[in-house]
This record gives sequence, C-alpha cells and structure tokens, in this order.
Amino acid sequence: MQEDYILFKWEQGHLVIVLAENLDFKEILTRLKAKTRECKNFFVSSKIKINVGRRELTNKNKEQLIDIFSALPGLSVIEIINENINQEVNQEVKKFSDSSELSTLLLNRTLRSGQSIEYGGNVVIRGDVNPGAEVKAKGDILVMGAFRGIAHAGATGSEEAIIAAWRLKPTQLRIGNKIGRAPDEDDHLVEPSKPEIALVKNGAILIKDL
Amino acid sequence: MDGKAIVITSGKGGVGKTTSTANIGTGLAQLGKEVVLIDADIGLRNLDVVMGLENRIVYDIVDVVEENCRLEQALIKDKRYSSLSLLPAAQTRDKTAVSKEQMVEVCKRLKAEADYVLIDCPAGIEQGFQNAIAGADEAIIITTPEVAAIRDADRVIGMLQAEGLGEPEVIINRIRMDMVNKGDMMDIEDMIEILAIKLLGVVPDDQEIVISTNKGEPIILDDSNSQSAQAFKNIVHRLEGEKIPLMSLEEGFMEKFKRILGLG
Repeated sequence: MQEDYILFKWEQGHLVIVLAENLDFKEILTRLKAKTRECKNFFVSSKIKINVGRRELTNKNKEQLIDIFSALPGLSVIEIINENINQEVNQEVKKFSDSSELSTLLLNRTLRSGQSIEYGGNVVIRGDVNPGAEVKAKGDILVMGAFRGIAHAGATGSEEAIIAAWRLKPTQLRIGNKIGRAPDEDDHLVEPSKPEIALVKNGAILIKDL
Repeated sequence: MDGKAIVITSGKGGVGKTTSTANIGTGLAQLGKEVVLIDADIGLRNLDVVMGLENRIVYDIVDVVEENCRLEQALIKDKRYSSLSLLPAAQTRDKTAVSKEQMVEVCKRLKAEADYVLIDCPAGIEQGFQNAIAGADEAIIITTPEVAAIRDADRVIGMLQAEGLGEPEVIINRIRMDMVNKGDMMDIEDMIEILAIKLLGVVPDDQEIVISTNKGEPIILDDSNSQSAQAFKNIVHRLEGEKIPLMSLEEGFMEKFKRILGLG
C-alpha cells in the first residue's frame, strides 16, 4: 500500500511527512508527487517538516523534495529532519574525511542559557554562546563571538572536527568521543584575548591560537 | 489613558523582584503617575506585605478572573499615594487559578486606566512566569552579582525574546562595591557582557532595605540620603526617559576598573 511508504501527520502545528527508509529515492519522489496531486487542498498554507529517517540525502535530493512542495500554493518546507545524528552517536565511529562536504547552518543570534542547537552539519554562530547553552554539530562549530557554553563537534564520532571561537571560554568541549573541560582552579585561567581553535591531537583536546 | 505593562522578573528567587516592584511603583507614583501593581505570585503573595497593605485585602486577582467581584473592587489604594494601587495575589490558590488569556485581559483593562502597570513575577519559568509575562509590553530583569542569578537571568532573557519581549533592561541588585573592588564579587562590566542588555540601574546592598521591607514602607520613601533609595529614584527617572548618570558608587568603581585596565 502506498500509505506505508509516505506518512502524513500533524505535530505541534506543523505538517510532518515521514518517508520510508527502505524505498528507492526515485520511487519516493514519484509516489510523493502523485500523493500531493491527490490531496492538493489538504496542504493549503502549511508549514512542512520532512522526516527522511536515516536515509542519507544529497543536496540534490533535498532540492528535489523541496521542489515538489514549492510547486503547490501556500506551502513552505521549513525543515528536513534527518534522524542520523541522534541515532548514530555512540554507535560505530564514522569517518568524515572533509567537513566541507557537510552542509552548514548559519545562526544570526546569541544562544542564551537553556537554548540549544543540534545540526547534522557544520554550525556557524554570529553571536555569543552563553553558559548553560549547548551546540551540537555533526561537523565543525565556529562561533563569531564569545563561547561560554558546551560544544560538541563531530557528534557522530568524528575526531577531525574542530571548535573555534573569537573568545573560547567554554564550560565543556566535546569533539567526537573526547571530552575536555575548563580547569577547576580559576586562577590559572588566562582570559583569552584572541581567536582560538580546539582540536583533537594525540588523543586529547588541544586549544591553540587560530 | 493608554499605559504600558512592565513585568519585573528574574528566574531565580530571592534577588529582589518584589522589593524592586514596590520601590519603582512608589517612585512612579511620587512623580504623579497613575500606577497599578499586580502581584502575579499566586499562592505566595508578598507584595502586599512589602507595601504594608496586607490587612486591607478583601478581594484578589483570582476573585477578579472568577468574577466574584469587579476589578475596581479588588484594587487596594496605597496608604501614601492615591495614584498608586495594588491588585493582590490570592494566597489560598495556586498558579493554575489564572490563565494566560485572563492575565492579558486584566492587564489590558488596567492599562486603560493607568500610566504604568507593574507585574511582580514569581520565581521560576513555569506557568506562573508564563502568566506574568503574557500581558506585559516590556520587561525588567532583576539580578544579583552571583553566577547562579546571572545564569537564570540569561535563561529568562532568552525566554522573553521567544515571547516577543525582545529588549528587556536589567537592574543589578545588592552589589557590594567593597567586595567588587577586592575582586571577590562579579563586576558590572562582566555581567553586562554576558547578558548583553541595557543596564537600567545598580542598587547597592543595604541593611536599610531589610528594615523598610519588614516595616512595609518602601525605602524610596526614605528622605535621608540612603544610597539604595537614591538608586531606585534614579531607576524611576530613567524609566521616565530621563538620562540620569550612574551614581557615584558606580562611577567610582568604573574609574577604578578603567585604571586597572590602563584606560583612565
């Protein structure tokens, strides 16, 4: 049955479309097109999130998906959910030879205590990250401001990921499976005065000038 | 009249929300403004005690939203200023007794009659907080020079921004310049750097506030030149749009700070 492959549901005011993982992507596109034609009126002015499960999508695939919906009136795809990042943490260590292959999320604001961002690519933040805030990325994290919170780069296990900030004063840094934290004695801590970068070297997190 | 509603909030408890609400409200009334104070801390009401109006309460905010009385009946006139009144919280109920929509409605009706509606927010970020900010147009954050208070203030600022109260101002309460100068207390610059919002004022730690709070007489009524009373007066004038420089205790500190950095 067609319904088994493509599932529509309402979740917190958004229309979530879940695509089966085990079906060929081309087939998914064809079925999705047919389905959207079928129930055109159902979609009027909806904000759509597409859940692709653990399927790996190329940028071209994503565009194809978005194209289907942008052809219909009043629709906007606001997010493509990929379950990869949550499920693969702590599982097998996956190698990413080059983080530039990942897509990048640009965030134009400060993250305050209690706020968090999690993204299946690189994250660039134009603002500060305050204590109590968390950034988790599959790739690199770059903060164009003061970083005072918790960062996890290479969240799927890649230890080639880096964390860089204009002023790096983190509560905790995680890269791949490595964890580093600020020393307990505040006295030894020199206030950073230039941009710094954290990376894994010889099995430990090292911070040096950018 | 079409006044504005300002919520006074902090996240952390015990930093001086209620004391600040009482003092700012009284100060605005001293300038001849029509002011209504709302105690949104249902179940733990305090503002009436700090204002010295506890024994005059007949109806409260829950009676108003449940239509046991008219809004005007629940408003208690201040002993000292006729342009100041208080809408007390209920003591025997809890935060679920009022909904966001009801709060918005109450604020709207009060704003039609007053220049300022000051909402004393409960500690925390749960329903009581959500209710208190629902009807507000602006927000004032109270914090103390403690890491935990700053952390909570930062969290609250983030939540206010999500609710469209994007530009709150902060009052740093209970600062002790002697400790700051010795490096034992966070300094103003550090706090403002993290919170990245406008500083509305700095209130020094003052035993007189404890005394005045217990007596039910806001310190701002005190005509002797207590520094905390002066700090609250400055805050009130800044709210009214005047440009009042920081007090000498703050200036002295700033100068010292600059000297340490080699700027002064």
